[in-house]
Amino acid sequence: MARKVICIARQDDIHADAVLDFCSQRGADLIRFDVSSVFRGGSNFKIEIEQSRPTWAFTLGSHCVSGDDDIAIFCRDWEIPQVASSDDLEQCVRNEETRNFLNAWAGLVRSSRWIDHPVQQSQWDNKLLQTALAQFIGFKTPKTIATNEPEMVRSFAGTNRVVIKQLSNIAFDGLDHEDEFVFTTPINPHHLEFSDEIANCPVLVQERIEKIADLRVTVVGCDIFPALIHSNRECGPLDIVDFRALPEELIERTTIPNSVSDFILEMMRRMDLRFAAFDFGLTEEKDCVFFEANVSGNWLWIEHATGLQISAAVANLLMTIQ
Amino acid sequence: MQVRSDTPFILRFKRKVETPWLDVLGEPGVHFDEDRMLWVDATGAPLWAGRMKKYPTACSTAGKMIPAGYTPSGKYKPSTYRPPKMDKRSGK
Repeated sequence: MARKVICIARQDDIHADAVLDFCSQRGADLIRFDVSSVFRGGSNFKIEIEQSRPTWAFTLGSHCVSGDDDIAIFCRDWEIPQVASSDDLEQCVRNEETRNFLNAWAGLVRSSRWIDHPVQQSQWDNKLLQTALAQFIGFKTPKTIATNEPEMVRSFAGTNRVVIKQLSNIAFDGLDHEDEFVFTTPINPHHLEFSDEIANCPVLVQERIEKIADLRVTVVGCDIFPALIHSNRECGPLDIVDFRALPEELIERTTIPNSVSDFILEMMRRMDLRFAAFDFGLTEEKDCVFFEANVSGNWLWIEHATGLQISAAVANLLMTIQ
Repeated sequence: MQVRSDTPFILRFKRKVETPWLDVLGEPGVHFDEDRMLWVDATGAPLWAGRMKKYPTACSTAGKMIPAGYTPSGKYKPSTYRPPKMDKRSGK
């Protein structure tokens, strides 16, 4: 019986496309769904809790899957949007009931079958916790504060060059309906004129690391795919520290010291994750400073630039995990 | 000058993100292949491979216009012509 690979992703997620393409070439039976629309369009999901053991099964189109099948699950997106009940009661009820149903289903499937289980992803998709863990393991991290006390931020910014990071990963819908996002951005004196607003909502502020390049290390199981991003080029009048905000970047394969790969694998072990995309700053002294680990990071832009076979590695892992 | 408002401070730092490359999804012939569970162009070639990486199974590659679009990291790539050629890396 062929392995059934279940991919949970938005329909426009091409990273899911790439992994499923490779899984298909390896003989897998593919099932794909989006958690925000799984109960529309003729799907049937069921969980039965009887005296022996809970069972589950679902049908999506022509595909049927049950707890008795040989499955692996690639989870790219477990987000069901929150809706204020005053906005749309029916949608709110649909989303909340779906969320609880799917969380129960996820709990019934062994975590070893996931890349990665939503509970682990949710727990560790948190820059503060990651930074604390990295420091606990003994790796270099930027000095970090998170607070809603304006004076604490002003004081921190008075003694350090600092950057602000978004604690969450949400994108905003701008006035002209274009996506907006907060990249890691330096805080300058002009920003601090508005720093009383910090009392409204906590912020994550870090010491700015003077780096000569960024290091993106994608981890799939025990395989490590390091890429160097030359992000320290002049950007005209803009002071950009986040490579995602650069108009173009030069990316190449690289190697990393054993101390860094050991750190990464130890982080993965403690976070109980199989996939993550780690970001480091590389200093002039060739020190690596941990910035964050993206638990559901993108990799095709790295694969395209370097030829690193990350999609195939994810597919291979999906075909072999037990 | 101290300004008091209800605005979260973080919103002072938001900036536009380039529309994801999947604007390409609106191109003629581009559709989601329900059997293969991925996006393909009019010729049936997977979109993820077309812009992101050469598809590893075809030995000869027809020339085609690659539409302008955005990479997953949000970088704009202009439209380019890919000439026909043999792919000696096929299967490796």
